[in-house]
Amino acid sequence: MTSAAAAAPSPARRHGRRDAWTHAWSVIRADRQSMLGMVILVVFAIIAIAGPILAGPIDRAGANRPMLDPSLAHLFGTDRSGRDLFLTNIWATQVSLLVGVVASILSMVIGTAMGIAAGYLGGRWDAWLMRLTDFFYVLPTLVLALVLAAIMGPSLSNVILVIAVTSWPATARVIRSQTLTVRERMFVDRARATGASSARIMRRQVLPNVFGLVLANTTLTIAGAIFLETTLSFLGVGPRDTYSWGRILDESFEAGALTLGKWAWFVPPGVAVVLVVLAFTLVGGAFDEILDPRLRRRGAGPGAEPDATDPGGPLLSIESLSVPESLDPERRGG
Amino acid sequence: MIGLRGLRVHYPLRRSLGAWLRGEPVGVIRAVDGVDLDLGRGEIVALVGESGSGKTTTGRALVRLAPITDGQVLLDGEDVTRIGGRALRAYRRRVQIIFQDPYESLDPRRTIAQQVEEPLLVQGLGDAAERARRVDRALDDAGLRPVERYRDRFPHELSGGQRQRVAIASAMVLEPDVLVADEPVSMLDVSLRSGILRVMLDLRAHRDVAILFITHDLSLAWLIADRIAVMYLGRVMEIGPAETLVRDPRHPYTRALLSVMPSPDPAHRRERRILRGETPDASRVPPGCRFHTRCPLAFDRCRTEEPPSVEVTPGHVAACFLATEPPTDPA
Repeated sequence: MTSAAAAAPSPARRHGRRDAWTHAWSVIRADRQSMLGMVILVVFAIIAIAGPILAGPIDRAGANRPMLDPSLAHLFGTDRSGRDLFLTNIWATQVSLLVGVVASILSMVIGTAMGIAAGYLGGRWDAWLMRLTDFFYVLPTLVLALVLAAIMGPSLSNVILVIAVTSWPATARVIRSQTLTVRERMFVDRARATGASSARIMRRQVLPNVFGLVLANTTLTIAGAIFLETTLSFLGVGPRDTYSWGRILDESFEAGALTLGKWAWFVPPGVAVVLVVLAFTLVGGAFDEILDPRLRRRGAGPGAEPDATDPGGPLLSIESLSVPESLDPERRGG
Repeated sequence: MIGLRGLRVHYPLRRSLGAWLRGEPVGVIRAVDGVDLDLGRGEIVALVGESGSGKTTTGRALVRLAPITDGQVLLDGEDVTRIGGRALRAYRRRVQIIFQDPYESLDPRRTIAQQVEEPLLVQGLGDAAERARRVDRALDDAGLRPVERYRDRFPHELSGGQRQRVAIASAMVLEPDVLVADEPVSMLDVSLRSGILRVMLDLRAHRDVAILFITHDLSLAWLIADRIAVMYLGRVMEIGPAETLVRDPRHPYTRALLSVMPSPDPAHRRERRILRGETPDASRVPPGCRFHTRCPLAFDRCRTEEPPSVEVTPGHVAACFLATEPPTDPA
């Protein structure tokens, strides 16, 4: 979608949403790091969506031929039960990304709601909501996740819930501080003066103006969520009916793959985790720039004043004005 | 139609730990300290004062944005000082405000049409077609013509003057009876000011809206207002018909302000009376007449007793012991 928007002609400039995509794309393209992150993400997204469909179910591959080394038939070898590890990794990509994205979105929703409410309502609301946030914040994430996962049982949705519950406080704090600055802006007063309720102002004025931060934060939270899911699965409290990168690592560890030198068992999921986490972090950095409205569409200047009076002749006219490139502030990227 | 009675807006100061331990009382900033003011239908009243005089806070209290400590706001004789919820929303439909800074008062992420439509949505007025019609009319009234050229733009694509017109449109789209204009032109280039002022005069003429015009510029007040109220340290020092107040000022503070007003006619330059010192801190309002620390005519009584408001001529009131005496030059 992005390349189509980028190629769109200038009339699209009037339409904010498409323009925002164009702008986002141009920022990512201009920055080598976020471009690299984007490429990695697209590759993994394709694997996650199309991989399982193309590759078929896991068990089809190598029945009763356990612990094979990598070969053309089994690119990453097979595990103790004779599952093809290449296929398992493809399925695991889908699960890991799904957990990461869904858990992060949940966490962002909770964190953003808490942050905006605390920051905008202030006073007693702020105090109570932030104490609650602090409570979750200082809990050792991994221990809480382990306990919750143990209590609620090892299913996919429970892992998602556990990750969401333990990762929202950081978001809430960031969003709250941004809300505090947005709240003091005049257009919030203006909305209040028109009779808008607090709930409405939080939704219509505050949320859109902290949304950039929400998005930037989401990419970082996804990285954290994937990492946490891997850890949980590695520790054996992840879902047992699906494969994720963490579970592959867990099983390889149990089978002693490291001492047996079965590198193809534990290296691919490990590398995948590192790559995806890195990619989200790289892309997340670019959001700072994408969503700063002052950096957007610098080209469109103000139109003429409607009441400008025509003095009849030119008061000041300039012809063939040229500015040396070295002095032109526009070209110096100021 | 709308009136303020003894309005007070006091903000408590935060005590330092040391002050708290010594048991010192909580200080207050007396931003507005007993203001009486009335606006009739279609009337323009200018509220003039230096920065820190409480004129902006008065305006914000009128639209119920500033917390009112004491006193009353009356709309058509009805006390609206403590209303909330639905009643407050209904009140805000009738009393609107435009702010000083046109760069800050618009939401950077919404188009002009969305911003102007928002008050209608908040108030639940009209269907989509009706709202679009009213938005167009408000933009047109505010001088953003042709309307099609502005509707889908974003604030950062407009100049300061255009933005202020958008702010006016989004206040006027509710067709209020009262408009508080808080220094609406002070952030604009001088060349754009007359355009904005003309829009406001047109609105008064065609919509019969009463305007509380807040400004620090006495000449601007004289130009646009029917009546002028001069504020100092949270109080109205002198109020009267614009013409009378400028021709025959009775309060020494008003005279000082007038004397530094630039005159286009060099032959008629008055002798300038530059006030000594600065406006005292609003948390330490002087006893007696609050102006006595800077007043060239101050005498003993001013230091202990607050001067009453004296009606010099009908509608022309000054809070000075010497208000009825012929003006004398200070020694």
